[in-house]
Amino acid sequence: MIKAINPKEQNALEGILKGDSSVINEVYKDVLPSIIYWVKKNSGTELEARDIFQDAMIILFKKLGTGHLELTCSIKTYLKAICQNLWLNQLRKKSKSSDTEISEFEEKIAFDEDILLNIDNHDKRKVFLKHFDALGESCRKILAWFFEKTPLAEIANRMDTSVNYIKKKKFNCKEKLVTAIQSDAKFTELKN
Amino acid sequence: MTKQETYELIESYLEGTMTAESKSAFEHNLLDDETLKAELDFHSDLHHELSDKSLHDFRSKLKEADSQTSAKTIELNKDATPSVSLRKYKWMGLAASIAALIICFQYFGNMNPSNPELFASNFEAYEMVLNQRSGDNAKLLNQAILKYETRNFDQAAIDFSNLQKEEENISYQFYEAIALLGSNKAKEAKIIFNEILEEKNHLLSEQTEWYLALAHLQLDDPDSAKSLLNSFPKSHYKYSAAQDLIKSL
Repeated sequence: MIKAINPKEQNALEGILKGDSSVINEVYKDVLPSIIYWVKKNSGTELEARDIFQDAMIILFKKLGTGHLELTCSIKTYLKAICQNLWLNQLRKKSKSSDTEISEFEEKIAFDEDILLNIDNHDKRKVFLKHFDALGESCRKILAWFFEKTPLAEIANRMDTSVNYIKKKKFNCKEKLVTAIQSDAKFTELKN
Repeated sequence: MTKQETYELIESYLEGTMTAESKSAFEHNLLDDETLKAELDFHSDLHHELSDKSLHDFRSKLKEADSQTSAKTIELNKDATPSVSLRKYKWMGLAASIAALIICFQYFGNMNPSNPELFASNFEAYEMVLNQRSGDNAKLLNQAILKYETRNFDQAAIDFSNLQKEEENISYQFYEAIALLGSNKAKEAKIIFNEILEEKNHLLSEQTEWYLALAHLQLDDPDSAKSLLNSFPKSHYKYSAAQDLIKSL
């Protein structure tokens, strides 16, 4: 069940789930500035803030996709809590901040376990997506179709080539992706 | 077995296209072969995470939204809520009390809230997004920021006004006007907001329009407020709030 604190927020959650650009833009306009402000105030940069905000939006989107999200706070508060947790994790890893500052955050971020779990799951996804994005365009296309279970014959047809070529190309692309992910120190860290 | 064959075997297992016999043999191998098991788990995760077309589409939209909020826009854009603090709670408490008061008035007296009351329930000082800094004017700027953040609006307005004698900056003007509004000096605030709006398509235009509408309310001029609020396009960041406010006017 997806539930927000009021009908307006309910529409916004549904818009996010549907990938409605106007709703997404509105959320960006409404929430991102405060995230940038907060991250910059806490040893981060605007780019880092934008990055964690994108992660928070994906975490929210995936959570909505499960069909189970009952918010008892505003979307803005929920996203801010996710961002704060994400940033806190990054600060810990980078040791950018003193212990005092971190414990100060922790007092502010008393949030449900569910968010923390979603954040953990997102770390692995993020590594996968990062290396997927780094592939060439044709590799991304072929693998995206393949992962969506599009038959190889159909992919060959779309790419105007033979099934054998696609089969080989798909393997090469996937191998490139697998190697990149498995060589990523972050991935090794997550595995351990 | 070549790597490509291993991949294809794993893929057909994950896709459920193996024959019962091949599946049974594959599962038997998994019991003895840790490397194959690890490989299967990895590919399973990979397929799971990358097979979501809606996620790929969603990410494209996020990138679009991100690029629409340029670095410069974000520097001065919108009402970022400050970190939770007692100060904030007090502020919210005050706003809530006023809102509750308004509701009581409506219930018991069947009266519409007055324009200044509507102002009080809608006014929230715009988040301070200027950074403290070192260098020229640093002391005065840092002082102005501090005053603003502690809701010492009278002094903040003076400090932001003084800063402009040293350095022309539209954001100083903007904060001066908000501070004036916060200290019930809507008349002066209105003049500054109108000056800012003369700069067409400025980054703070939408914010300024919203606060100008609130200034009209503080001045008990609902017609001007309504007319301005009615001009907000749907894309305006305060469109919904404006619609709600119009209904109360």
